[in-house]
Amino acid sequence: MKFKRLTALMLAGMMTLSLAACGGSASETTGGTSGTETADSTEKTTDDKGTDTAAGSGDKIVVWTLAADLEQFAARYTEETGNEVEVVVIAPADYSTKLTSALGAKSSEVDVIVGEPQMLPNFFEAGFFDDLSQYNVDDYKDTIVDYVYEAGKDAQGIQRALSYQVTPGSIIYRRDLAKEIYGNDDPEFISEKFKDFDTILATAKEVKDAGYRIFSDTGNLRWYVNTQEPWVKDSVLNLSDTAKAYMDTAATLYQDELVAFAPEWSAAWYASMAGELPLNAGWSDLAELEGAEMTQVFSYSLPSWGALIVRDNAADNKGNFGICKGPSSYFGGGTFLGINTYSEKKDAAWDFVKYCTLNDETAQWWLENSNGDVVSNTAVLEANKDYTNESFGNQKTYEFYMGEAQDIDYSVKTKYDDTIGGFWGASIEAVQKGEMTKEEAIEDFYMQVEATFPEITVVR
Amino acid sequence: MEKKAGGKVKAADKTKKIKGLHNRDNMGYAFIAPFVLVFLTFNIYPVARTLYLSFTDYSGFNVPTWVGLTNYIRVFKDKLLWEAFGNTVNIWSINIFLQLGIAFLLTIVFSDMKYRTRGLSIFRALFYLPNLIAATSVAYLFKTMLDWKFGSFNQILRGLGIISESVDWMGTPPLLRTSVGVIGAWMWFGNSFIMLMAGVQGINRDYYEAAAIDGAGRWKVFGKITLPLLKPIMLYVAITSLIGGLQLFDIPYLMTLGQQKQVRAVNTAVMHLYTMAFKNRQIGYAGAIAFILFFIICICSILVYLMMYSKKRKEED
Repeated sequence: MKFKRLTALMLAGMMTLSLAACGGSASETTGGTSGTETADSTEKTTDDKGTDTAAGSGDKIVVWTLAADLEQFAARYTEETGNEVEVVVIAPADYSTKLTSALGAKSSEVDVIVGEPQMLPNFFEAGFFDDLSQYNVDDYKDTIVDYVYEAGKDAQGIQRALSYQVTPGSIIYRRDLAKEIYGNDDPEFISEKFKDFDTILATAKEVKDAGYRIFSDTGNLRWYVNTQEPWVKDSVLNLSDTAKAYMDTAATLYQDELVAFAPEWSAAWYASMAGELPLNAGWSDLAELEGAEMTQVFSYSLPSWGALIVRDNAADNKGNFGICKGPSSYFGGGTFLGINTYSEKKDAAWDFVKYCTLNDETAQWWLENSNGDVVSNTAVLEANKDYTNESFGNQKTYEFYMGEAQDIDYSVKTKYDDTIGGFWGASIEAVQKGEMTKEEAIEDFYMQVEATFPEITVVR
Repeated sequence: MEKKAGGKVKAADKTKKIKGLHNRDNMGYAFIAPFVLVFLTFNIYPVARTLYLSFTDYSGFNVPTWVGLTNYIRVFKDKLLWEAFGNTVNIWSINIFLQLGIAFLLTIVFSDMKYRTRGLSIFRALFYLPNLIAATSVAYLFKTMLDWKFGSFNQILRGLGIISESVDWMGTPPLLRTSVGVIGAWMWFGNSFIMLMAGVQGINRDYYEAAAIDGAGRWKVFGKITLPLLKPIMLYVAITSLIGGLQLFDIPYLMTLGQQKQVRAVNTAVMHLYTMAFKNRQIGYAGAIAFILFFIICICSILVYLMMYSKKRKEED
């Protein structure tokens, strides 16, 4: 009996000691952190906030991202500041779910989080992204392109995220084919060939007559729908004339076989950037299409990141592309960084966010290192506007994208865009394939919006 | 004095507690406690939480706000949901017709005295095999087979001269729904067959012997003895299949992953629920759909129970 009591006492003592040890190590860490020397930028933040916690060596932060780019940023940041950053790259399909379940449980495991523009409104509403105004973020307002700054604000206008890149849209076209068809490959001349949907249809016929196809598939035009007007205005669905014109144009492009029928991200789509591809390849393996009729794709409508994809898959066509404006300015995608509301290392996290998004030197380094990604830093864009890109026939691509970025109207963006755009795309597909008339497809579209978002009024 | 009395009471309680541990009934509670805890945590709590959320505007990101019956009223106005119910019933009808038909035919063959003794267990295992394959593999297998350009199904049909041009099985809504129904039947006919065979084996042999003595033929025996006595089992298979059919999700979802138009063609009630909850972030509304489905399934289950119970009571009478 005595032995049992002794054992129980020893166990209780060990448990008490281990608990005390945990508490001790925690307070030690806090003390160590506050006493550590920090980088200049972090010291300023510390002063701003009036707290004694700051980033410093040994204060490792964790970044969750869906863009592998941040691994390079983190490596450079650690090299320069000595502050350790662990970057966890999560597959885009799983990112939203993983972040929601972790931060829904108020996890402090991650310090810096990211989001693409379409994800941000939900993340903001959930309170995952910390308010950046406490770091005097407004002082940096003019550092980055307007629409990027606006996209990082929540519904109440509070700044919660920033991005190191801009993703303006463009028409990326084949200069050699332009010369062959029109005898002119100048971006301004080609831009006129894409100035509106009617002109695009006429261009598509000219290109087909020459033996080529204007686009890989009809979806290339989707970017230009609702770039001037929002899908939902004052809780009322807005089926704009542009959207209807897109339906007509897409149906004609499809039915008159004016496109190559190579969907974005398919093997045929990638192959088209290097030269000939089988017509109507769809998602098939190209090796299975021997003997098929061949064609070439004249142009792609893609945001700035698409120009890098075209360049990297161009093979012998490298240097043979040009970039010009389409019917309107738009943007697509982009990685926005913010601070996890529940992070215990917010100052260190802000230091990293600031380093990636607001630092001129980082922007210049990324512009050169990424070999073509367009940064959001206005000063760096301005400084590089005369840079000529040999992959695009020595065109001044940064100057072009800087102009496009400044023309983007972010106010037309709504949280419904992805879903409603998807419904409209499905309706167009039904018209293209002759499964529905235009009127039936529009009615079906209205029904889908009404059923999915009862808060939106649909006026027929 | 009072203190002393209190002390005595405490001591008595302690003795009671120690005695309580030796009580066999209490030991029983201790044994079932882990299950009850797990059941309450992982079964009852999620159901109760879903019920609560179905009365809120929860999006997965906001703080849930009570909206009363709004979500339940919306269920009746949601045309897409009724379309999805239509698809579900459509796919289920094809499924159950084929599933029961094939299982029934096999039961006729295998319940015949001539064949019953030979290789029944092997065939039973073989027929059940499709049920053991993961839904992901089945969906991928059929997606590949039904490809309109290179799918083996079209190639076989062309080779046999049944069709001259490839059929777009995945791109034509009625054909896609039929395909999903047929896949379901292929996966589940083995299960139905086993149940029907169990039913046949449960029939009293005396009936057959009496029929044999009376000189009844094979078809007469089947029509007058096997079939009527098998009816409750057939009904049970049909209704449990309806319950499964109402929860149809995996095969149509996996076959149409990322294809918006195809999704619409085989959008089942549970797929609609999933879309509302995880794509459109309307978790409160999805909860209401879940409970409408839950009630329909409950009614079906009660029907089965009543049917079985009344049969038992009749037998007892």
